[in-house]
Amino acid sequence: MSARLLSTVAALAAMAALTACGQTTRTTDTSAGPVAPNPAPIQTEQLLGPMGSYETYVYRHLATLRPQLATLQQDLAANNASAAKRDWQKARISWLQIGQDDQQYGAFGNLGGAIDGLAAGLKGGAHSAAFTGFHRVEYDLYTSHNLHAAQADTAKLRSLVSQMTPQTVTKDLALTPKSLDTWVLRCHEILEDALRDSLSRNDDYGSHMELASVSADVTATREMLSVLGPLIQPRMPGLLSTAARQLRTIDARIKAAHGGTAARERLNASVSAALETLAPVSEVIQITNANT
Amino acid sequence: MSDTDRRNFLRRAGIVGAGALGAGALSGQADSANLLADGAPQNQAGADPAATLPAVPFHGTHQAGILTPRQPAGAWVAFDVTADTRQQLTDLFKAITNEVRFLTAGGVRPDPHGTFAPPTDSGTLGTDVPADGLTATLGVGASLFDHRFGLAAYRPRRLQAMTPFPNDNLDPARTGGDLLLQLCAGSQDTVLHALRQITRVTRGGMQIRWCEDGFASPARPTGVPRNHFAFKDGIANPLPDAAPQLLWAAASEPAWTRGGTYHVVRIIQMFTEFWDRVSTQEQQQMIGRNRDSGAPLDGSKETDTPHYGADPAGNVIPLTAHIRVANPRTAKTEKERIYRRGYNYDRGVDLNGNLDMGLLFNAFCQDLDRQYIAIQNRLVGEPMVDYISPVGGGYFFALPGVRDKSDHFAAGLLTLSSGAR
Ligand code: HEM
Repeated sequence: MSARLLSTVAALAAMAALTACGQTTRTTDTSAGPVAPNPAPIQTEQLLGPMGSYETYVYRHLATLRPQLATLQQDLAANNASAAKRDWQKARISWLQIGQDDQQYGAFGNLGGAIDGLAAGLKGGAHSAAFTGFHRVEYDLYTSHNLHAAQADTAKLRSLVSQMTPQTVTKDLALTPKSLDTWVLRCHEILEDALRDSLSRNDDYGSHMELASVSADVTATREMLSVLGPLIQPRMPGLLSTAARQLRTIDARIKAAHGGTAARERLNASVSAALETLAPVSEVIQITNANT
Repeated sequence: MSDTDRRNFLRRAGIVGAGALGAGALSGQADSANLLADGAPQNQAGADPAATLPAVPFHGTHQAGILTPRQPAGAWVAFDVTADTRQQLTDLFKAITNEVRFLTAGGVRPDPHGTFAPPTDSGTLGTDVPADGLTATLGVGASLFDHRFGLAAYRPRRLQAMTPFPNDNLDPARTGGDLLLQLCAGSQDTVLHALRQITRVTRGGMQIRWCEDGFASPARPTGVPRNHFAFKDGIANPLPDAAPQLLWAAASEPAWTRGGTYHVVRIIQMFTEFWDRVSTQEQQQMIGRNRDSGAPLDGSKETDTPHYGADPAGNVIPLTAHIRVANPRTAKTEKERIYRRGYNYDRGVDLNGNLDMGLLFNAFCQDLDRQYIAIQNRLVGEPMVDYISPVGGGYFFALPGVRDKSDHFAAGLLTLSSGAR
């Protein structure tokens, strides 16, 4: 028995003792319910199916994204700024729906970071040559209004995206302990990014499209929960339905969020509430033989 | 905390031997033993940062944190409710109640999900959470009584939005709110731990609108602590005996408010650079007290009572002095008196390079109009206004106390409004 499993058994015993006295009251909106007693250990092989489905999902979105970037390139060649902005936004959403944000939480390593990184942390900030990808083009289009630069930066973005081949993708989405752990974390980290970078406008370089971004993040989170659902359901029976309800609340509040502080507070609250629900997912999916 | 622990804390804090702080001094129902002769609460500033304050009982007719002697650290956090329904609002108040009940008692928090979820406590106070004199005082703002939850008919009669007085410069982002939580404790980490735990269990139900940290200085060198203008602040307060007439909700208020009180918070920036360019003499004329001793200008000790009757022309204490205008001590103004519980704040630097410091004016009273607003209207244009600028705050109604384990915050209000009047 691995050390991890041993500690799990101990925790379960402690848990059974505690749930008997039934404490921890939370507001109904953040309650995902208890962990089921004696959840069966998860073997690495059980993640083969979910990961395969997710890969298919990624390829589908990449297939949508590539022609969108080609159109963006044409807009720029035609010196059409408004078309370029529109097509940049479309491409951006396709990318976000994959579930990739900046390199902080991203599962696509350095390549993901180059495609979706921020200028902060780079010497020279937005002027740094290392500032590449979606946000670089956003900066060109919406902040410096430099279509010439946008053209070169879009070419660079396209070449980065073209490196997202099955070889590189499966390297990051592998059945190794490290990459499985990182991948499962996405169940809440995609939305963590939404809260931390989009709703704070920390990742905004002028497009102000944080609401659409959060919406795309919700889509990606749904995909994660859908592929991992069969593993989550028996282990935390209340979680999926609570999360589904909370994600619908986010959708509704995004639609209503264009009006002032109160509406924005309500959106922030709904994202935060969903995050509390999703936080245990990566702990519930403890893969017993991942480190064998 | 055992008695020995408490004695140790008090000794380390330099309070034992002062004689003013008896056992139970931190209990929610402050008795006059906790107060100076003039009714001012003793300060609880600690000298040893590792020492913690004894627990303050959470259950009671009134909330703690109102007559409780000032603890060294505090935070004032206004929230907007983001819940959609009355049921969710009730759940929100229940979740706050349960969390505060745990935090004010302290102990090891259960982790019902074991290793299958992140730990339920942030751990910033260690595994065995000390109570550290924590009080969490919850109030409701006028905006909670709008159309959303069907509470309009039950609004406390004097509860209103804070509108600017002539010398104000209120920032809407730092003014108002559906709820106000005053957290006070032995130290700042205890306050912030409480804030993190409370917001964590209420994520979907409320969002922070504004948040201000405050601190009560230690005695310099003795007596009531000083504010950023160097004057001892918190000397003159009504005695707890007068609470039925001056503090707790009046009989004319809706029945559910019994045991509650109006809570006024004003975030008042103090232009300390400007103030420091003023002579001591002029400073004292503005306040009406001696800067060093805290005594009224016609007295010798901070506990002395000013005698305005003997000085009708204001030769000793000017007619425009802050303390004289705020409380002229006439028969007519007796019923205007308020319970002040102010804290200093420090929030960095202003755009012009001046320090952004001030007073978290924090007071409780039975009737907003008759007391706080009447005083504030009289203070309009006082000489001190040149040196201060109120930038935010709000009016709230601090809820009745949570009576026992089966009760929760706002239970009286929410049962009423869910049907039976
Ligand atoms: C930054 C702003 C303020 C400063 C620096 C300040 C300072 C002081 C000081 C030094 C005292 C004398 C010590 C004491 O009795 O505690 C005092 C008393 C008092 N202040 Fe203020 N104060 C401020 C704002 C206010 C406001 C907004 C009110 C509004 C109601 C107020 C009401 C009072 C009252 C009622 C007293 C007691 C007077 C008495 O009973 O003798 N103060 N204040």
